[in-house]
Amino acid sequence: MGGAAVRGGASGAGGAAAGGVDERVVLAGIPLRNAVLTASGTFGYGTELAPFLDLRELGGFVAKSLTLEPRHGNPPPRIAEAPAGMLNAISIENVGVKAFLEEKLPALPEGVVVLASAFGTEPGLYAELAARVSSHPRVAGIEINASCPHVKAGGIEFGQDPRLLAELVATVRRATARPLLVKLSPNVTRIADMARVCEAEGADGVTLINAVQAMEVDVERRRPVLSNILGGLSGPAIRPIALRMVWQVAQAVSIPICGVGGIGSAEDAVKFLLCGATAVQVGTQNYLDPTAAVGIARASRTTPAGTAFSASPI
Amino acid sequence: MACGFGVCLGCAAPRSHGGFALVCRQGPVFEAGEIDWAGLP
Ligand SMILES: Cc1cc2nc3c(=O)[nH]c(=O)nc-3n(C[C@H](O)[C@H](O)[C@H](O)COP(=O)(O)O)c2cc1C
Ligand code: FES
Repeated sequence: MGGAAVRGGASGAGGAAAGGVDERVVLAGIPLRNAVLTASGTFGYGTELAPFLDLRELGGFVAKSLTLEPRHGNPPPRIAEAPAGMLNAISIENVGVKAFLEEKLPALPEGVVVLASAFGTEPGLYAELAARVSSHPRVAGIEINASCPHVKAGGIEFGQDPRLLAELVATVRRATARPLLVKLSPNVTRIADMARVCEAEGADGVTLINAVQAMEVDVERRRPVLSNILGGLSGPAIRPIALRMVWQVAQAVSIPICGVGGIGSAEDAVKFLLCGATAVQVGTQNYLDPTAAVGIARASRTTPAGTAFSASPI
Repeated sequence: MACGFGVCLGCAAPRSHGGFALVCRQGPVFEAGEIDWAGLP
């Protein structure tokens, strides 16, 4: 298996001298300050936390998934606790692309690397959204959410059917020249096949994994906890699944991988890099500790664990 | 309440005129008429 650089990934090798780590990471054509991003839906639009954190310390952040029009999510309960994680069925509540471009993006400090996440119920809507966000200079790249586990139409359907996924990626690819990542669903039998489809249709990289489809039951009320019945499991509970899938995808494609799932520490992040990821995203851990991602990003530069950020994959 | 600062959208309470309010950011205290009480679990 080739090193990260072969995958267009972390340019770590040359910079590891003198106790330092080369901070320059290129993910799917997007230059990043370091390999640590935050995951879509777990960091809002950045504006919520910008007063408390220097978001420029992050490699970047992926904003909440967008639809063309503003969208309300599911009725409560939308979230539930789970062992070593949580369930959610928010259902892509978002401000819509117009407010994102006109209000949210301009409110962010210069120098913050922003990826927009696109969601829709059909390929044409994803493509239109991708084209809209591509027109904005602050959008460094686009992540297609082909994997939301609890929306009734769209999302996961695309991530579970290779033919639909191919059509989706090809359609969005025609609509944007920006770096394009496809966020994959773990709710499939062969994740590597899905990644191959993305590579073949011109995606610049893949992000994995989204939440694992799951449910929880309230025994006293004798009904599901979530109003939507089904939700997505995230947090440390899914990390070994995510590592397995990142490793499998790394064997199958040569486009770079952004690893997500249960990352709570620099050591967790390094595990993903060792499995073949070029960069990582921190998700649920942001809720427990809003400074977690910045802390991991700092560790990627300064701690002994950080030296492993430039390691070759296993 | 997962995050407490408005990024997870998990604490949504239905508004009487449609849409949702975030209890962590826009609440936790609301005018009674603002909330669709029947829509709460
Ligand atoms: C409350 C919540 C909302 C999420 N919203 C989105 C979303 O809008 N778009 C998306 O691509 N992923 C979304 N995700 C999935 C995360 O980005 C991430 O893929 C998943 O939670 C696994 O990573 P983690 O275990 O670090 O949280 C959401 C996750 C949670 C918990
Ligand atoms: S608790 Fe996360 S948005 Fe309110």
